[in-house]
Amino acid sequence: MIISKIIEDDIVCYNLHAEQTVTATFLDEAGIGVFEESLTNNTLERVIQDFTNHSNFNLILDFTNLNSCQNNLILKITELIKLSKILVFKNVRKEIVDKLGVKTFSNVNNVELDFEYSLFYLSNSGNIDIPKGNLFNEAFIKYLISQSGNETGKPIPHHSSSVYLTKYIDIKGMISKEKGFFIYSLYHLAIKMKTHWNLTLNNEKPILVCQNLNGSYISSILSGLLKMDILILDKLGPINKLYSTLDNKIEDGKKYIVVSDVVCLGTEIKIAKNLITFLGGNYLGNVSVIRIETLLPETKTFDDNQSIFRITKDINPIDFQIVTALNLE
Amino acid sequence: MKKAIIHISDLHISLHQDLKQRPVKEIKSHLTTNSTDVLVKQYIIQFCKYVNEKFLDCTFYLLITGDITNVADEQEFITAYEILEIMISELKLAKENVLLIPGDHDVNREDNKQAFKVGQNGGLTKDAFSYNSEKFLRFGIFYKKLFNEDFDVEKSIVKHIEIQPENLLLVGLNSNFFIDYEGGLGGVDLTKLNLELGEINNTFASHSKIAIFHHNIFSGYENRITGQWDPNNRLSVIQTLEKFGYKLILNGNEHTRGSQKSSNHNLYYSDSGSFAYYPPNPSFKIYEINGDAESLMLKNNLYIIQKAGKIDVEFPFGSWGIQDNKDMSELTSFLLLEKANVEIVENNELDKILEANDQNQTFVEEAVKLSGYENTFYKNQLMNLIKDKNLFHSGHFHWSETSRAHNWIDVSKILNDSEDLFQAKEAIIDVIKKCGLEDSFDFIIGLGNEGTILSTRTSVKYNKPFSYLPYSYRYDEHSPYEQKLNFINDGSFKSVLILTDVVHDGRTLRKLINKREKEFFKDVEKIIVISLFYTGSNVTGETNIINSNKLQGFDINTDHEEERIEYYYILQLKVEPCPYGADFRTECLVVSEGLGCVLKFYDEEKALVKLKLETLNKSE
Repeated sequence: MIISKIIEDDIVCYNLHAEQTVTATFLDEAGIGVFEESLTNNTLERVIQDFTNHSNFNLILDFTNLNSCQNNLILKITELIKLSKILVFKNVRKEIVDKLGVKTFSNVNNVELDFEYSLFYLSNSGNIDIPKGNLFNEAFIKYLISQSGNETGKPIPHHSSSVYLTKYIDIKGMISKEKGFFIYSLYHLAIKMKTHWNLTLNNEKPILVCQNLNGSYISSILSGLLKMDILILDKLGPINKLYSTLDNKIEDGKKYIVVSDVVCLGTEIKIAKNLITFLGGNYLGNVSVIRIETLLPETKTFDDNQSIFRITKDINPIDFQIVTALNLE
Repeated sequence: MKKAIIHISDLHISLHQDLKQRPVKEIKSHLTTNSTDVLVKQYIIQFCKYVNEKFLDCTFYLLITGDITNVADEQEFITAYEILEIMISELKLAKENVLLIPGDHDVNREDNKQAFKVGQNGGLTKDAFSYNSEKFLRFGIFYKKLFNEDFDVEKSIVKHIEIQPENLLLVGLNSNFFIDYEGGLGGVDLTKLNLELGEINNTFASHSKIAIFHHNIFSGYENRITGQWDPNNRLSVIQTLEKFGYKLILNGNEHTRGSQKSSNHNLYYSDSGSFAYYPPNPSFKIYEINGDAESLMLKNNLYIIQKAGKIDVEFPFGSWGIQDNKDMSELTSFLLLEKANVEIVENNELDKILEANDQNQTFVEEAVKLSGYENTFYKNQLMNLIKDKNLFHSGHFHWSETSRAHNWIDVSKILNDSEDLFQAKEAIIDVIKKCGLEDSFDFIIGLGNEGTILSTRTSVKYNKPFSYLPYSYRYDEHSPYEQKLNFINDGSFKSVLILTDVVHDGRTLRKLINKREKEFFKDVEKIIVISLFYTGSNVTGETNIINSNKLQGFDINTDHEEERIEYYYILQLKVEPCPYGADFRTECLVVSEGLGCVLKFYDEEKALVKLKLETLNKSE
């Protein structure tokens, strides 16, 4: 399964670290998720297999977050050179270029800066129009629009807060429609979490707290990507009720991150936070697929949230609004 | 006295500090150059202790199939020497019984690069990989220090060990011929190989022979059978080995333990996995030598670091444990020499099937499928977790008005540890593989929070359309979006795989199939269900036990007829259902007198209102 492919005109782009993460998380005997920084043969084989359907397209392989590569990959790279019109490496470290033995390509665009090439053409001549902007973000917005809506046109009562929403965001629909791209989105979230909370492979990590089915799915993927433990806090969700358990699931002094699909007003997060804190746990923050920024930046005292996409006053591609009976027309 | 060959590989002893003495961040080996880390020494001590306890009064031969170090740094080799001295002492090994060959990580890339540069500047045109003296310089110093023997960089054969009176010959070979500062694939100089094996064959022609490499000439990965060997060199090497009568290849390199017999060549191959590099969990092998000069067989024993049930584990790296070969898809033995009419007692049934049906895996799978699924490795892991974490509870547990039991397994606590969760996900995949289900489903559903969490690895690995649903008894408690399957079955999904944590008698599954998602399942021909636990009482191990026609006391009025389910589970752990009927609140003393904990996993208030309404409707 390929997760990161984005096609823009006659250019196909793959994020190799994201693909390596899939190999390391789901396919190898016991992967290390996003902490894998070396590109392996298995990953390139999967990319080749996929790219065979796009032969004669230009090909961009993004090496961001990869620091090295397995030995013996040159045959695979040669295969990709043959399959593509022009092959370009993006954000590739000099060490990788050296190891692959491809430094002999003397394209004028191949400029090394701080031991890295922002672009490295695997052809001596030729130039392609590299897409500008954040390709993932643009693709995610399209994906979000396709799974948001409101056929009835009537405001939808929120399930845990006393407000109405003008649009729904169907996270499960996103997962069902394009499982691969959703995992790619969670990969981006995992990278943000790794950086924000300084997560490493071997140190003690916070525990992911999930509260509903979507949260369970997201937590399971994130657990694999970041090697984090999970706590199923069943059930805080729609019925706002915690089923009794035999003993205390929240451990004193441990750190917790609450996982949500969409954070709107943050009611469920607050319930979870209170519960975690009350039972002696240390609430570290929350992560979500979508975060609705209901407060202006200057009003927020601190930001404990990491999300794949934030809907703000200025960036609101689905025209998402929260309304109450006071201002309903 | 018994004899056994210990096979370890891929130690990857790693630097714990960089040149500026800053700690190295992501070390992936249990063995580091940190001399103050007691765990490094303990790792070796515990290994030796385990081996000595398992094999009393045994003469050992030690094979180390390369990648002793991670980057062939001098400091790594110093640690390697210290570690091997401990091993040799603790296992009471004679140094002549130790066979150690280099892997590509024991080639110092920088030395090779420098030599190549100097050579080029001096007008030499030879390949980088042929600067053997330089690339093996550090390994050679270490080798000399350890064995007081020179490591001959120009030879294919590193060393051979003869074991008598069994007439067994172990031949260690250097497969780093093509390795240079950029890495490379495994390979040997064919001319030298032929010459050297020919020479050795003059003395040991009638011996049973084992070739020992670092690089894998076959692969543990199903999709890459040709291993990590130079494709132009590989077949000639195999043919040369066959020519001289080699029966078994032992190797490392891939960090993937396994053993098979080649379908195209008369050769067994065995990889011990990585001894200290992780993940996956480190492993090693011991081959017991059984037989004599007329009939010879090696019994294959696999040992893996165990981490499940960590409470009793003394050291953070875990503890060594023996594995059942059948569970781990390992051959039980390697038959090196067969005497006519000699019955080989220890060659078990599975081996016979494997040997007779070299590549015909379907026969083995068929045999397993008839009796459901059995794997003591995963079974024991789950059982240990239940015991260590105290997850099997007694009391009164309610999932609905009609579903009540006196026991409950708190599965969520098995899934909360990322390593245990990974093992649980792997167990599901093992069921799929071992029972030959890989091509048997075209849609996957995770059931409940636990089933959803368990299903992510399967859904990616097999890349089939995937969705998840709430447990039937909790449907109403989920948002409308979570209740939707999001797929319409136009007849293209003929076989559906459902993954969940616990199945008792399958009532909730039958309700899901015939009520909640009736339309989707209408044209489905087969429903495969896999759970971690089966808490029912059927002990036949058959796969049809939760179909309605196989259930005792099946009540069509409160249940749904369903005969399409093929059911597999990993561990059966019977729970006692509450024997009382609708009057349980007054008749069951546990509930009425509060004799034990009473846990309700459903909205009782809501259910009682519903029940009242139904009764009222009936009476009207």
